[in-house]
Amino acid sequence: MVKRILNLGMALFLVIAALAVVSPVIAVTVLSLSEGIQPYVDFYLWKPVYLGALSNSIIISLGASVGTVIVSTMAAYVFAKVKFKGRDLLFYLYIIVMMMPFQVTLLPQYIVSREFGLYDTHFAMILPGIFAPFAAFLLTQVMKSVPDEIIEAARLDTSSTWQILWYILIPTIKPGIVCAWVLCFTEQWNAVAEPLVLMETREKYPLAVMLNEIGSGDVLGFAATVMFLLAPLLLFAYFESEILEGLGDYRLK
Amino acid sequence: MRKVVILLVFTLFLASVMLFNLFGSELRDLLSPEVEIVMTGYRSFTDSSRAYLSFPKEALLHDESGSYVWAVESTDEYPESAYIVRRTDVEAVYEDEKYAYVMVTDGGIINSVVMRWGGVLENGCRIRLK
Repeated sequence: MVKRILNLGMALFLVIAALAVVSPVIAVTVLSLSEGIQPYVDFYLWKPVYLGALSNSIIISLGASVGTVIVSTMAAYVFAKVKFKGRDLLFYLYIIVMMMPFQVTLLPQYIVSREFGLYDTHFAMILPGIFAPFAAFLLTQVMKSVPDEIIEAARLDTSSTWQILWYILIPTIKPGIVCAWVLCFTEQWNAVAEPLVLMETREKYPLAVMLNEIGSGDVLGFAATVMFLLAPLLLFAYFESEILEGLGDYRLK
Repeated sequence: MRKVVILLVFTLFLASVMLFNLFGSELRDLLSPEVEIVMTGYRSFTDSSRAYLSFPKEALLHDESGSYVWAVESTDEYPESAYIVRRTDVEAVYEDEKYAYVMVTDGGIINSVVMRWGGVLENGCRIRLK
């Protein structure tokens, strides 16, 4: 009886917690539709203030996340499967950078982007994003779980490291790669502080920065918020199983 | 099946944002009513010290609230500069065979007015010049 009451209490708590999380999304969706679909028509066509910002978000997030996955997969292979002097030290440096609050590296990023002539361009966001250490760390851990015997067996057929990576390792750790990609995409998608520091032209800001300006009666802003939610939501819905698998167990069964 | 639908929606989302961002200006032009405008002039009459706004009679419109014109304004608001129309109330002072002479009762200087148009004009709507 006590167990049943406890279970009921827990279920009630979870329902309330879930409602608390989902209610802002429902509220903003309902508010955006308070004038029918006109705010969405305005969003796309007549008042495309936020549309340009959304395409900036897409360019920055896709550029940085795709770049991250490419660079991190190769880095992870080296960290996990290639033995050389100083490898662990290099990997710890990666972890240290990952553990740092991003505000610490923001000023150096600003200086470097100024020096390289990247300031106030999308590349000021994309290039540092590509070399973000989190994906390399995640994929290294995933790659470590692939038995060395598989690579040794592959070595009998080919001496090309590239072919081993492309035909053996990448298909094996695909959920991990997808997971890293979605997490990096979402991180760039939600970035607010970096664009404000690394860019100054309003037309180049991503939507996350522009949403800051929404007022309480701004129906167009609510429509923009719904559009902003859509991409990460769809990505998660599409790659749900890969993300869960990517964050879970990798040992070959 | 679920994944195919999500992929379709996501592709549609990305494509629509990019397409509207790239070709939005052309699309806005295409959907805006095409208008023929005429420059306004001023004329003073001998019995009056003030000058009256003059334009072809066709541009002077009337409804239950009085006479008005569609005044053309340029705007350089984001995302691009464009022409819009404003309904401006006027008081007709004199009309001859070709021209109407009016006093502007609300609004400021009018440089040009809409003479003919296709589609529906609304206050503040974007127009395409013929």
